[in-house]
Formats: sequence, C-alpha cells, structure tokens
Amino acid sequence: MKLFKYIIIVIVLSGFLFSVKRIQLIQVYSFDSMTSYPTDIVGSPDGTIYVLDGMKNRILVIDEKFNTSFILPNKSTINQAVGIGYDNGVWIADTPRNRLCKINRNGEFEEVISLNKNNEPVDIIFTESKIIFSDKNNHDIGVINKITKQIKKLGGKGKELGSFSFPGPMVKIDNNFIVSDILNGRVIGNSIDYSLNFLVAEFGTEEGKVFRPKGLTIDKLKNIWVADSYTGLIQIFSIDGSYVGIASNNGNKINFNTPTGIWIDQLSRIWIVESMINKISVWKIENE
Amino acid sequence: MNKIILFILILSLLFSLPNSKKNCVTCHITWSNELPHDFLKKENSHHILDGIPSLVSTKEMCYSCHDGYVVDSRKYFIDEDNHLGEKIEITNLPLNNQNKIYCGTCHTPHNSEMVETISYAPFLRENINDSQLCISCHENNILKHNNHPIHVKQNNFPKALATSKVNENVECMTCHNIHNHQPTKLTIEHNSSTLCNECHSNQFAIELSDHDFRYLENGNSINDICSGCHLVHERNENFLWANNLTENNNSFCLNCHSEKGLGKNKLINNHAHPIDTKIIKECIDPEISGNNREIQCLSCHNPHEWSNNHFNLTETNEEGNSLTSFLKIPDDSNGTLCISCHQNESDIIYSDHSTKREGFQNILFNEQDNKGQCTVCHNTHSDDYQFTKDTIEVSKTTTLCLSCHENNDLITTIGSHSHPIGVEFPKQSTLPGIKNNDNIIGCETCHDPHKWGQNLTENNGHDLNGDGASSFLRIPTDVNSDLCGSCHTKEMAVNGSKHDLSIMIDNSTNKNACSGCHSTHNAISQHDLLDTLAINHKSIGEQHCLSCHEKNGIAEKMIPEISTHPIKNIFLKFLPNLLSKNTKLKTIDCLTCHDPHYWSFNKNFNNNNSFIKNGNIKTSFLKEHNYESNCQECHDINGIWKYLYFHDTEKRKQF
Repeated sequence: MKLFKYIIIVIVLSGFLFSVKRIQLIQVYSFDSMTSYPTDIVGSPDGTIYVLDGMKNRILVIDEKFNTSFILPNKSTINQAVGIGYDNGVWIADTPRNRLCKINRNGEFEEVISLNKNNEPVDIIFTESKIIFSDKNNHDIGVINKITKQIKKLGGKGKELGSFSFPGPMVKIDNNFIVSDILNGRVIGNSIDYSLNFLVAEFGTEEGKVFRPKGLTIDKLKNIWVADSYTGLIQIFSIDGSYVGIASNNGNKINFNTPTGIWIDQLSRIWIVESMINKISVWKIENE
Repeated sequence: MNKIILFILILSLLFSLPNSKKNCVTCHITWSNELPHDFLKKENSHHILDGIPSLVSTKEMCYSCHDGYVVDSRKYFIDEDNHLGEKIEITNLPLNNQNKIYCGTCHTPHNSEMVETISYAPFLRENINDSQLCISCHENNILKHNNHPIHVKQNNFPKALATSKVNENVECMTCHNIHNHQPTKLTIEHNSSTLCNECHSNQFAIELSDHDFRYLENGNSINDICSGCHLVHERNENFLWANNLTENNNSFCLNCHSEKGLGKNKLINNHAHPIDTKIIKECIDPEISGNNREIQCLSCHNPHEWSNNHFNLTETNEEGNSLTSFLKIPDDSNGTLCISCHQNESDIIYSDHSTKREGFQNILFNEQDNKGQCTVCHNTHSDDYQFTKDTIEVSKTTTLCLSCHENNDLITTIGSHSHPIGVEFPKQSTLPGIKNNDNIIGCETCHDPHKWGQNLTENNGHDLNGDGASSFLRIPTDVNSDLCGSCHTKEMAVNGSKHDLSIMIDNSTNKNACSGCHSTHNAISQHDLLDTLAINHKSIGEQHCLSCHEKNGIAEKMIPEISTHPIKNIFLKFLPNLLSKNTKLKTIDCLTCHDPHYWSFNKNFNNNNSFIKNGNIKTSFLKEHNYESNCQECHDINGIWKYLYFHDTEKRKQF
C-alpha cells in the first residue's frame, strides 16, 4: 500500500513536470549595488524605467540606453516608501507618511494626496479616472476619484475572495486590477468596480502556485507575471487562473533573490528588482 | 469500487491544505506535503523540525515579509553586520548551522505577546525590557565588570530611547542598536556624547571648557566629550572612570593634573590646600564636604561645569579665574566658596581687606584680573599666597603684606621706620610668630589680616580709617597697651606714670601709654620708633625728651634747670649700665640717666598714684645704678682714673 502511494505521487509530479512551460529568459543587462533594498519598478511610455530606492530616499532612473540618474526629492522625503507607479509622471506610494505623491524629474512634488493616518499604501496603479492603492495596514484597496479625490475603500482583512491579508503589488489589465494578496499567499483579480473577485494564482509550495507573491506585471499577451519573493521564482498565469509557465534559462527555472518588483517594457524585456541583493536586471523574453 | 473511493480519499488527504495548517505553512514551508524537494533554495539551518531543516527563521524567510510590503525592517537588514552573522558560542539560544547568529537566535514568531503589550521589539525569545535577551549572551561582560547601570529608573527619560512603551528604566537597548551597524544609538564617528546628553544633559556645561577633550591641544584631542574620562563598559571604579585609579579619592583629578598628565599646566603642588582630610566643622554645607566629610577635589570643583553662574563659554581654553575654574561656588567678593568652611575668616569681607574696597579696586585690580576675596591673597593649588615679590622677607605672610603695604602710593603704606620684623621676641608672649618659627616676629604677629577688629556691617566700598580698635590688630590698642606689653613686658611700668600720656593729657588722642611716644609704623625715627622729636637738639634722647620738656611742650613744667650735658663724645664703653639698652650713640643725654618707662627703679614707688608726687632721686624715671650720686660715676676721683686715665695708654704710664 505504501509503495502504491509513492507511485501515485511520482505519477502526479511527473505530470506537472511535463506540462510546465519554460519561458526562456536571457539576461541583457544588470545594475548592481546602485540601490539599497529597492522594492518596486515601473516604466513610462517613453521607455524610461524608474526604480524606487526608498531606503536611500530616491528614485533610480534608467533610460533606453541604460544610462542612469536619480530623482532626489526636493524639500520633502520619500524615505522608506515601498511602491511606485506611473501616470503622466512618477507616483510614489509613500508608505510611512500615509500619502501618494507625484514627483517630477527635478524632485519636486507636483501633487500630494494625503490619506488617513492609518493608511499605509504599498503600491499604486491608475485607470483613466481612478487612482488605486493597496493599503497594507487596513488590508484593503483604496480607490480615489481623480477629479473629486473621493476615496473608496474595498475589501478588508480576510481569507475569502474580496478580502486580503496584506495586499501588495498590483497591475491593471483591461477593466480588472490584479493584487498580490501576500500573506494569503495568492494573486487575486478584481474588476475595477469590484463587483467581481477571482483567483489568479493560489497558495501552494509547488510549481504553478505562489508562496509569497510580490511583483506583478503583464506581457503583451496579457498574461500575468508573478514574482515570488521567497522562492525567487517568476511564474506566469493567465487572467483566468491557468498556469502558463515559469521563467527559466536553458531549461532550468531561475531562482532570483527576493524579487519584489518586476516590469515588462515595450521591448518585451522583463526588468527584475532583486531587493535583498540590490540588483536590477533586464532579461529578454525569448519564447513569448 | 471501494478501492477507487479509497484512492480518491488518499489523494484528497495528500493534497489538501486545511486553513490551520496553511497558517503554519505561511512560514513553516517545509511542512507542506506537496513540496517538491527542488522547489526550495538550499539554505542553512540547523534547526530541525520534524526531521527536516527548518527554514522558518532564515534571513530569506524573514525578508519575504520584512521587505516593506508587510513590515518594513529593511533598515535592520541594511546594517546586518551588527549581530547578524556573528559567530559565537552560546547554548541557551539557537544559532544557524554555522554557529552564527541569525534572525531566529533572538526572534520567534510564536512569542507575539510583547508586540501588543509593552515591547517595541516583537517576537523576541527573551524580554528586552529587563535586558534579559542581551544578558543571555553577554552575561559574563555584564556581571564581571563595572558597566553603566541597568534596570535603573531615569527621571525625564527620553522617550526616543525607551525600550518599551511602559519601561522607563535604563536597559541595554536604551543605548544600543541591535540591528544597526552603529551599535550605539545617536553615535556619529565614535562620538556617543549625543547619546549621553539624552540623560546627562546637566553635565554638558562641560562643553568648550578646559575639560572638553575635543579641544585639547598638542594633538591630544578626541572626538567624544565624555569618553576622555568615562567609558561605559568594563570599568572597575566609580564614575565609570576611563583611567586607572589609585585608592586616593582624588586620583580622578590627579591622574591628569600631574607632571606628565594632560592637565600638567594646572598642577597641584605640595603647598596646595590639603585634601583627603576630615572636615572638622559640622557647619559646612554638605554640598561642599560631600557625604564622607572629607575634603576632596570634588568638594570645591564640579569638573563638568566651568562656572556655576553658567557663564556661556564662547571659545575654548579660556583662562580660569575665581568665578570659573570649575568651582562649585565662586570665590566672589564675599569669599563665598572659602568662607563655607573658613567661617572664622568671614569678617574680612567687612574690613579694609575686602576686595570691594577702593584700595583693592584701584590698586590691585584691572578688568582682566578677576580675583575673588580669598584668591587675591591665597593660591589654593600652588604656593600659600599670591606674591608680587621675588624674595620672601621674614615669612611668606609678611612678604604678602608688604607686597601691598610697601606701595608708596597707598595710605596704608608702611614706611622705613616700623617695628622690626624677622627678630626674636619673648617666648612668653601670647602672640604668634611666623609660620615655622614661632619666636620670630612678622606682620602676622600683631595683625590678623582677616579680622578688622571691630564689628562692621556697612560695606559701601570706601576704605575704612583704621585705629587702635581695628587695623587688623590681634589685641586692640585703643583700650590699653596689652598688645605692646605682650612682648615689652617691663616697659609696661609706664602705664599710669607721668609718661602715660593717655591719662596725663586731657582729651588725649593717645589711647594707651605707648602711643604717646611711639609709632609702630611710619615713626619719625627708627630709634625706638620714637614719634615725637624736637629736631633742634642733637642727641636722639634729647630730641625726644625735650619735645615735651620744653617751653610750650606738654611737660613744660618739668623742664630741668640743667637739662643738658656737654655734647661731647666720651668713651662709655665700659659703662653699659648707664646707657639705654638701645642707645647706640655714645653720647650722654637724657636717656643716659633716665629710663622713661620706669617712674622708679624701685617697684615700691611705681604705684598708681606715684605720678602725682614730685619726683626725687629715687623716682623721676632715674636709672637704678646712679641713685646714690648720678654724677659720681664719672666725676669722682675714681672716675678720673677710670675714664680719663685708664684707657689712655700714655697717661696710664704716668700713674
């Protein structure tokens, strides 16, 4: 009976192995030790990349030719901020100061949205009419009307769909926004009006599942790339929750070191922020 | 069919993750039944759970939440070189498989009680509110050495340093960062004085003073104000003293204030104010004496405060004076510091020796020379006194007196005709001699420079006019002649005699028998300090005596019919008894036959009423030896032989 059990396990696992799609990545460039425990990354339509170097109170700017510069906040601080977004300019989810800030290349604060003192935003995304932020302290999502600045909170602490345990990085796909529900160990999709909540990736310690989901991005096929900051794996899911594949190199899956932020640019290159080793790397996606 | 159902059940069990277990697997990833072995990174852990190396408290697992998205502990990871990764030998806390400190050494997620209650630091294996976590490893260092005290309450405890929400005691974590590469809070480039200042701000009046080691000269400066004298750990003496100490309580200071020490410019020599001696008087302010009732450096000095008047130092290396110099109490114009102990000397502030008096203000002081009441004369740490003279005359005290009273511009100047000093005086006298030789007379024999001599309260700054009741005399001379009589016992026979001018003259300004003829200072003649001389006579005796015994003199009724003897030098070498003891002039004059202090050589005639009687051959201030015949000594036949022929070798041959 015991032998029978092992045979079953082997068969099941083999089935998974054979069904896994390897997404071939080839490293193009890397930036080492330019940041200190960076968290998030975002790109602008002009191809510029912005990396939030919150522990050094600055933003690393990388142009198309991999030239680097920094945005240094002028007359204020974004120290220990966690999330970064882009909407006609760089926005910062200024976590410790409970605010969302738009900051220009000169470091000037063009717009500041102050939140309630108990709001700790960790990421920020945009629709045409709304600003959406994830609030780790209240385990919910804040939706701000860009015109009226009215804030609506969605979700709350819980395990059921529509609730969160430390919502983190987000990404927008069409009329949905996807959220890494970090300590529930899952990736959740939500319609913009929050009428629909659905599971994109579930908790698990096997391939095709997520353990500590963090950075999210989408590719041209509108697949969702999920960075797992503990396992170091980057896995790809479709919005309906089906597993697409895993980032690999020469057939071997890649174990990144604490990947917390990922971004796929217009050249279909994936930018990966490895927080604990202060590394930003650029990879070409071969078999997309 | 049953086998199929059983198969489905087994699969369900194998791949199901009940919520309770999922909570555990959030961290205990190895407990996941579905985990493929190659899914995990190979990480170091010697913590074995269920036969599998636990990955729960590995750095990577901790960072998967503490990266800012759940909790932001990135600043601790940035400075992970403090504690994290240190290889140590302990058994009471877990280490990683390399016997190094890792997150799980101090933290466990299963102890979350403190998070909600008192501690700022969560999930700790031991309490940090009583430093137990630190003691777990550092027990030997903490128990075997003198360190800054812990578990003690600090008033006005800075909240920024508190180890918990309820504990205001000083603990290890009050000062130390566990996760920071700079192990001590508020420390910049090994300078922890900002941290010390949080609690010990009242000691920071030391800034810019001569004890601020940041400004030591000759390359001896250090970065930290405090650490020049104090080290927080592993010191063996009080005050966490940085240097080695002897049993001498004053070695705190003397370590530096020694010939080879940093404070060698301010040495304390053998003539300094005594220390390590018991304070005798009970009336001394305990603030000065301290609890052990011994005089120490700290009795007078507060090494942290340049001035208790809180003078704001604006620059370093300011030369100290009697108001600064780390004195707890200034030696101001009231001598406040010294008089705290030397209360018997407190009268000085009402006297002409008060530094508020014009004499001091005009002559001794200038704007840069800020001396206090006592330090104007006394030098506490070197010689006994402040001196302006290169050589010491008679005694240091006398020299000190003369350094002011020899100034020709002062009303109190002592001229050339003063009572001799530096000579022996009778042992039976109750007056003090000079220091180290009680039989030698000095200024201090007659004067106590601290006691003006009469009760005075006003102190308007004007100089006082001294008299026999004051003038710092040890014995007032306005009542009697006891001061002079203390040594000149025999001469006190003049009291009540016709030569006692204090009673012989109505409304006399002379308050005692001596002052009619003598002045102790600034006399007209050094000869017997005579102060009344009629200059139209040749011998000193006649000059003095005839100044009264002459027409219009106060003794004009007592002018002798023949008052003079031919002024002719005669050889009286062998008639010493005829001459006044102090007469150096070999001249016959009044004093040859008279002793003005004795109405009679016979005590029976020296009674109180004798002066009203007319004199005769047994009185009249005549000397004893010639009462039978004043003249016969020289003028009888024997006299011719004795004085005319005996000493003339040619004439002696004729006889």
